[in-house]
Amino acid sequence: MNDLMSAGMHRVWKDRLVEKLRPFPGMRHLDVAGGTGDVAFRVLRALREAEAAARPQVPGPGPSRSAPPQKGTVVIADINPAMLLEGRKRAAGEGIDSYDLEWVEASAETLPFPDDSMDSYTISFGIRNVTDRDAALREAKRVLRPGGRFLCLEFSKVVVPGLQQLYDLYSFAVIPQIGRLVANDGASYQYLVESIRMFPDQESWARQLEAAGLVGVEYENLMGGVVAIHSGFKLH
Amino acid sequence: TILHEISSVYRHNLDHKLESRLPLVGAAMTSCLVSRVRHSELATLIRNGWCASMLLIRSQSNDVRPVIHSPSTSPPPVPPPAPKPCRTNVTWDVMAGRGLKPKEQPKATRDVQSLQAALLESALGHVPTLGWSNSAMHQAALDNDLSPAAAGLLGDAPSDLVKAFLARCNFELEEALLEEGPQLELCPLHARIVAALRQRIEMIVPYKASWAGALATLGSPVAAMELYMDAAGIIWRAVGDESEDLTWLAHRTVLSGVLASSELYLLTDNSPGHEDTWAAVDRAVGEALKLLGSSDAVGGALGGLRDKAYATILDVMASRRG
Repeated sequence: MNDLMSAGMHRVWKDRLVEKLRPFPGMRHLDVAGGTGDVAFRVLRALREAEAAARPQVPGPGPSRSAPPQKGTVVIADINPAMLLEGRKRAAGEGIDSYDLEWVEASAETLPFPDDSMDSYTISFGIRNVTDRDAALREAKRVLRPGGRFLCLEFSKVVVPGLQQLYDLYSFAVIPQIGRLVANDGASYQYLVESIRMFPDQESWARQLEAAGLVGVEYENLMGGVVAIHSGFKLH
Repeated sequence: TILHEISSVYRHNLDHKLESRLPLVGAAMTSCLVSRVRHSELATLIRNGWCASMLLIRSQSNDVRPVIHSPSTSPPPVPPPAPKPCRTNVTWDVMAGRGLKPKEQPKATRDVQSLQAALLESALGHVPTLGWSNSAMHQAALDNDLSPAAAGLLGDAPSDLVKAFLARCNFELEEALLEEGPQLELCPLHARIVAALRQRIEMIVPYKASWAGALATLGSPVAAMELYMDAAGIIWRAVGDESEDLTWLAHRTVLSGVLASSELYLLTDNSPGHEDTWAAVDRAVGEALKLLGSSDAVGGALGGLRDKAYATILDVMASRRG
């Protein structure tokens, strides 16, 4: 369904999110509202690649080798247990070791993790559906370590002038029809495109991030503003 | 055919900023004028002017192409061009010391900038061992008691580390040239430019061993072109160039080419005290000044062409009226 609606572009957007994240060896990453594991699998793959690159090249015993680097982990939190189950099945299908991922059923507004425990936090196409976004941002700040990064991938306001009308036409005329034909659920997809319109624009959302206490807030528009990646850091 | 060639050069130079497109736009506009006027002498003049500007732009991109690869690793793949951000931490203007004065910025921004400067300093300390890489940036964050994820403050990729270093070099160059202003005025123009270039190139010397890797990390010559043009601009301002017309562009383009090729020369120079590099800089500046057609006055080949073009246009208009 995602592939049909975005013509496969959602994969590119998620790749760009993980590229911005730049996983490092020993990272502890939290992906919220990512039940099916799209972003989490990408982060895990990049994390293992970074760890493999950082490992010393020459195998065999050497004089006083330092302790092996910490293995990073990815935690997936989602409010919907059905999505988590789907994600577990996909992980098994892709051959991902079950020890590398943690699946937690939790709402973004109240996370069951200790303070200062995560290196990074991503939420892709989920913050739109959270009732109290400021609470979710406060929780993100609480859970992140000093220096931790918050990344949010979400639909946003189009900045290219001619694209707005085309995008509206596509959203309201085509997407609910695809939903009706493929998923037998036109109403959900009508809600989807309406919730996209209700979401604040890039600058307002960036100001909300700053109000929650994140610093160095910036955003990057993908596809002319159809999608934006917002990023903020926790320093204190 | 002129328009066809202009459009192909335009496509070739799509990454350049507006300043570099001005000669092309000017040539395109005047070629439209030419097709109405049908004055063969004017057409030849415009074509010559356009060829000269194209040569200047192309000469710079040819000089900056890195030819040396770091011997230990194969050259990394060229990163895809990132979409232009609308709001970003990586504001080179501010890091280069231009833009708002520190007290005009809100406190949160100042904190972020001081942290960026500290991260850059730490990362450069790790560059000799870890190279211009993600590991250096992550280690820099660890040194500052932050999670390695904070390396994102410096930028999204290792090329941003190189660009941050170049921006800082430009800032330090500007300060150093301001201090030395009164002493420099006693020397002729050639010597002033060579001294300024030497100061700028000496900032690269501590990282000489890894500089080839840094250029490869940048991925493309145009990625740092703005920063090299800024360095050239700083040097020209310091030696007294006050021009605001096409010669401004010509001067900066030529000097950034000289700067980039001198840096590459430095990479394979093993002479004591890098004497060969300074001799090469001397020769290159001499040739550059000859190309720009100036000894002390700020003239230049394009300036002469432009004046001749204006004179010919006025003649044509007068003859049509008369």
